[in-house]
Amino acid sequence: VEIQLKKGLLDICVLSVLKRGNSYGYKIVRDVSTCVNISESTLYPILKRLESAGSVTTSAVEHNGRLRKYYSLTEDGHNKIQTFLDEWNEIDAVYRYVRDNTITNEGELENEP
Amino acid sequence: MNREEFKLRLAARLAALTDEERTEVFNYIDECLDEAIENGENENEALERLGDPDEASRQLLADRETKSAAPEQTAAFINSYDSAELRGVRIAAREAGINVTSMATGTVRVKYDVHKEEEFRVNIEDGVLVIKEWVPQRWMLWLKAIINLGWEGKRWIIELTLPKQFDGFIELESSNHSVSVEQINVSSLSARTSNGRIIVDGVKSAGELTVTSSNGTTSLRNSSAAGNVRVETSNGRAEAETVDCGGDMAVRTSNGRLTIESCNSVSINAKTSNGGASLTQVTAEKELAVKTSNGAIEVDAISAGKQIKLTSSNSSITGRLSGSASQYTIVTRTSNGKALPPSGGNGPTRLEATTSNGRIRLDFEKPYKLTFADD
Repeated sequence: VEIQLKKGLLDICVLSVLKRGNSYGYKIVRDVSTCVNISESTLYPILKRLESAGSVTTSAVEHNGRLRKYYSLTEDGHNKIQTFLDEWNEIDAVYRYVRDNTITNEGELENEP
Repeated sequence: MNREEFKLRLAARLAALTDEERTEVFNYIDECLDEAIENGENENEALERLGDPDEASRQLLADRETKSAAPEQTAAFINSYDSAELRGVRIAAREAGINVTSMATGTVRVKYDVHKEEEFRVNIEDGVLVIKEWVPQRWMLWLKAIINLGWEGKRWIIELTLPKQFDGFIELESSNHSVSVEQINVSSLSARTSNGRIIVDGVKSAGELTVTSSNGTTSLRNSSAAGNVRVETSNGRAEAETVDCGGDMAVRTSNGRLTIESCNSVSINAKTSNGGASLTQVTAEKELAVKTSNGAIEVDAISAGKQIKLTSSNSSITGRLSGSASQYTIVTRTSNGKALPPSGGNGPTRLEATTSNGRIRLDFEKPYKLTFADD
């Protein structure tokens, strides 16, 4: 589940980067890395997945004598970000629940001799 | 290791890909490395970030591995049991629906799709075949929806096939899906769901027959029970059609229409709050009681040995009873309407019809010796 969760969150991170404008592999890695550390190898399957899900489309643009593959957000991609934002309250409740339990337990541990 | 060496080693690990897919991966890597160099990184740094060829290939193919594992997650589970060794079957499902049918053999067969999250546990406990569906907490399902992006809750079905004559009990429960049971003889049957329909057709029970839902239609047809029969729902229709009941029969709904047709029972109790009640060819050996709050009561060819009690709060009571008026001791009461027939008579069966805000208009199959003035 942890791997899956991370995967899902990365998908959303990538989509949100594209919300600011079309972008390409290397730049997406740099942008996302300010939040989560990922490499180009990790990004590749995410882009493929988002493309086949119809959340992003690609277009090749010439740059310095070679092709740069640009990714842009589709309507489906926009919707996915919105869904994530809308449902965040629930995930936040789970996070706070886990955090509060953890704090209590640590407190107990400290009291032990 | 330079770029070409890296790609060469990587190529060996991407053998499973088609040429086209491999080219796509290499184009992507070339593009990333070119961009890195343009941004002032050196090639080695950029290559290091991609990981060693082993690691890089694992990450690049991360999705493909899950894909190849997918068919195992949805394998159909089929298992058979000797019915002679079972005294009952109990299914506790949550998201899954349940279909029960019969066949002309002595085996009990269970079939469902196996999924990772929706797991079924099948055990024989004390002669009872127990099938339980384990579903993660609601928030876990919710996380799953986020994680898979666009995941749609698929609904599974558990298919249970029993011998036509099964000398055991059946207890079925689902939370969010429908339940159906067809053409089978059992010692008793209980089918419940919270948010789905239930249809029971052609079931012969040597004991009780219970069909209950909270938010769906409940329907019992062409069936019989030696014991009590219950057909209940809160927010849906409740129907009983061609049912023989050797005990007490209860048909209830809160917010739906209630229909009872061609049914026989020792006693019958029908109740709905916000729907109408319709009874046709219904016979109770002892008592027949029908009660509604805001719906009309319509009857045709109904009879009872001891008492027929029709009660409505805000609607009319109309229709025809079996037999002649002389069989009844009639008590009719209405606050704001006409009541026919008027109270009177001293027959063996008590007929009581009461409404607060509606008319009462009942007549009898056989002409009455005294004719009532037409209204």
